[in-house]
Amino acid sequence: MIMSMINPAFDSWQAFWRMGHHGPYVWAAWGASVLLILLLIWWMRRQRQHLLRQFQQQQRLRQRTAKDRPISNPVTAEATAAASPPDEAS
Amino acid sequence: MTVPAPDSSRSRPSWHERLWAGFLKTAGAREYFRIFGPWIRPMGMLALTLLVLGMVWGLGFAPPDYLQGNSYRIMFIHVPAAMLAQSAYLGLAVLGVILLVWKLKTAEYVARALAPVGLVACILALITGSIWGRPTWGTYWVWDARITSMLILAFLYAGVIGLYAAGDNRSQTAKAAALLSIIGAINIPIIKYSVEWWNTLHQGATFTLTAAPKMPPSMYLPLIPMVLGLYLGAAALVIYYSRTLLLQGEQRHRWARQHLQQQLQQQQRQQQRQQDASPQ
Repeated sequence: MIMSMINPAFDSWQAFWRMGHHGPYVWAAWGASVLLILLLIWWMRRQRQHLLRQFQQQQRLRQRTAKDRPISNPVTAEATAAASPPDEAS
Repeated sequence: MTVPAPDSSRSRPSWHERLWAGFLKTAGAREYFRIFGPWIRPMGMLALTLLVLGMVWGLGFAPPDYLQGNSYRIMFIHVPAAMLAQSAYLGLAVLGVILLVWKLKTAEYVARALAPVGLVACILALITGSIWGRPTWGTYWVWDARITSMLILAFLYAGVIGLYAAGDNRSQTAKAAALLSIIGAINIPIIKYSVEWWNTLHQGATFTLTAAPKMPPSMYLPLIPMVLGLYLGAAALVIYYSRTLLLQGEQRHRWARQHLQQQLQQQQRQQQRQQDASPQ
């Protein structure tokens, strides 16, 4: 029943792109939509990458200070304190 | 870890009240993270399949409209985006209530992730509607009730996002964001009934739950995969992004750091593999 309703709406690819003089509107609307959605996905992935990189830097600092621990080093101790404040949200 | 300042104006709650509050505050964050993580990929894949199906069907196979010609094919993205924009805001309002009443921090992470998705859906509805308006009404923009209330929705989203971004988790600004989510929900019925209450250029609802659609099935059927795909895709994105925010906010916990470590190692292994593969 549904299959009988599905027929190509255009005779040729050219007609498909033109959409009977409505082509620019239809393609602009769909193009903008796809672009915006891809932009959102890209932005979210970038946020994740940003967090991972930030975590990696903190990790390195933590490891470095862990090595220095026997000799208490005020400079690195300060650096770690500055690099990892207790509340890191936002 | 910051301990919230004790509220001196109220008497100290009993131990079981504090236990219950503490449970609600902490319960869920880790569980949510663990349970919904595996959902992202299958949901995203299914969403992509449905969206491609709906797009090809709507653009190439649905018959043209007798009055609007082919410009009505914008509907297949315009209507699902507008629906998503409104449901996402209702979702924000529900999460706002959960956040204010039960102080579940998981709700805040999800709300923070849901708001940008809703904003994008709202902007999509506005842009596609505007482009559709040009061949249909002869103008890109009119200040009619439907379009104006939709623009207000976009501003509400922007306000909620700004307020959530302005402060840390469980801060006063987060409460303000939750409150704005709840109050702003008044706008949703206004959007819905704007085409009935006012004389608008925007047409009335073509699809209602109570009456038969004012359109043949061959023209509206592609909407079904588009709506399902967009909602599923939005859900997958919200889970993905809320997990990022959750990891960021819960870094003081060992499990969050362990997960971050795992992700880093996974990434490094992937980069290694790409490096190994490229010179050959």
